Amino acid sequence: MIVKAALVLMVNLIVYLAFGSFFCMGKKRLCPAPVTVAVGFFAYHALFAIVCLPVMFTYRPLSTLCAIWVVPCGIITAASFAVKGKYWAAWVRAFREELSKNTYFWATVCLITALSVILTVMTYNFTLDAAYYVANVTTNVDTNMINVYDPFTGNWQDHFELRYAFATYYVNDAAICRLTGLPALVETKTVMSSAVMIMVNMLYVCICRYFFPEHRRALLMYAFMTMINFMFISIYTTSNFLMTRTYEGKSVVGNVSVVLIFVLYMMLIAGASENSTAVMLFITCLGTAAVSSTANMVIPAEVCVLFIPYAFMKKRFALLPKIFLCILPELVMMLVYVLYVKGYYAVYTFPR
Amino acid sequence: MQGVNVFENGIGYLLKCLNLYTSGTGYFAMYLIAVLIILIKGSKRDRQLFIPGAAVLLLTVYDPAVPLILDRIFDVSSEYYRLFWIAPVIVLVPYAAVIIIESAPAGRTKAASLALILLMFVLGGNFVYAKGLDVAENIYKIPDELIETAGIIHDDSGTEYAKVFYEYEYNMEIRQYDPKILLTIDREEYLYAMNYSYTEEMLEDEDRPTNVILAVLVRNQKTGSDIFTDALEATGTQYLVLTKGHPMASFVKRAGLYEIGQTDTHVIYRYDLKEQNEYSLIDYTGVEHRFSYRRLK
Repeated sequence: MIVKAALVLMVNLIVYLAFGSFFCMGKKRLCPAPVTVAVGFFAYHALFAIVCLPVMFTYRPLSTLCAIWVVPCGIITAASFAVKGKYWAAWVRAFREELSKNTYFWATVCLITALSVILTVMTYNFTLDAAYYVANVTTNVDTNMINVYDPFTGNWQDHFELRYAFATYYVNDAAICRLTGLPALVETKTVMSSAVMIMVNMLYVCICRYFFPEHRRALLMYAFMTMINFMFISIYTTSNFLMTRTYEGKSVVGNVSVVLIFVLYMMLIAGASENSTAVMLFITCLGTAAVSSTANMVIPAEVCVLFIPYAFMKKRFALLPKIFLCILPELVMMLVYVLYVKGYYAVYTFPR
Repeated sequence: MQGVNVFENGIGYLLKCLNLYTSGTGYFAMYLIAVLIILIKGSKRDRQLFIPGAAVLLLTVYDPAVPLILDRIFDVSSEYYRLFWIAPVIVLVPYAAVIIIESAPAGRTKAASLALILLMFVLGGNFVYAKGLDVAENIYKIPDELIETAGIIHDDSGTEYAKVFYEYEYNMEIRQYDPKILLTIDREEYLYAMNYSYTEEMLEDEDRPTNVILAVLVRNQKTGSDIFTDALEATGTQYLVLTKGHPMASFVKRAGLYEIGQTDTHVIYRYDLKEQNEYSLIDYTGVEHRFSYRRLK
């Protein structure tokens, strides 16, 4: 099972890379690999949500969703390989050269990342939220339906719990389980936890290299970043979510989305094209909305905190409508959620 | 946040929230120091990157009035702390630390600044494995014994699904592993029972038979055997998994339940329901696949 989990993890990362390549690679732009993979992760989950929601709200089974989903997923991955493969090859060549020049740096990075992955995967953590999230995956797989049974008890639900229903991240876990036969606990707490931890560490290295092209200093900064994640734990910090609740959507929002948006802001400051940054930002925001409802509050706030002052300071007012467009998915989801919790409507799990 | 809400704390909510968030660590103090370091020693690019965001955060997220305003639109008490995630602590603090070390003259001063920063991290932090490294017992990351209890129940029941009462931790974990186990008690009901006792009125509420089960098995409140078995009947509960030496074990046996197996620390009891209603999934075949919603207000 460990081998199968490792294979699923590798395929996941390749698929994210394939999805991200369409937004991050071209003649005029070539983003760093960590940014491409992370943007790809959100592009994947945004597209998955678009496919999943109509299937879910019309009470079609999970198996139907899986059959539909493998088609665009396969086509995009294959197309990316065909169209962007030359960029991947160039990357591999450049990385091989980099590796031979800075073996010590990359060996240490791999060691720290591997240690972080192993520790998160092998430790036992009891959290109440897993009672919903992970049980939701097992329930969906077992019943071959999507979100119509209560994960806590197994009872049928009269209407969808919309606090969670739009965050299709866990439905994707259920789809992977159904397609691969992996148990939900292995998919969530081993495969996705590892994927998130690897992406986070890749982004950290990218940030360190941005500040310090010189490897020794970059490595010192990376070591400090890891140390903060190990040392600054309260039940609320992003570090705690990363180290103990890695499989949760909230952890992805706090550790991948928030950091990726900061990286995009860094790239903009460094002179990246506003349009391509806005496209990557839009994909990140859209995908994050599909990962956790926490995004609906955190992501618009972060985008505004970083990009609005930039637009005013640089007098780039044309950026403002683009920023608004980026956070629009979260704002819409927030409205949908607020109306639901205030009791304005309900979406049924059976036709009436 | 646990025990802190905007309504009760008003303008003081933010400070309480921050205190809980940092929980005695130097998390935000270090962020503020790092902002100061960037202001003093940072390049133009650094200031452009970190200072406007920090200023906007100070005027918005860290303004004590903001949670009060937001709370009028929707309840932010339990989630406001997530806005603290926006501050790029994970980037800025290590960056500032490297700037300090690298700007120190080579030799002992550099080594001393490195040592000082490490000391700040260690003394100002709270190590994730401070209480020890709890290694998972298996690849599923749930206790072996929990898996064992599920096996015993399935072997005994002879049906696809079985409805079970588990105690707190197992109750939260079992369905992550085995969705064929249905639970009598959901999360919120269990959390309530851990904090509050049940009144006579609550125990007599026929619409909430779970109150009786929780009162007996979580609160150890006394009630009649027939009331307890009626609650088991009403909820369709066929199995109880209790820790060995549970204070209500003899009551449970007197009520007519009998032991079908045990693990190192748990005993599994069976109750023979008078009316055996086998659980089955809702049949969606032939259902019209159309979006169905209702406006409630």
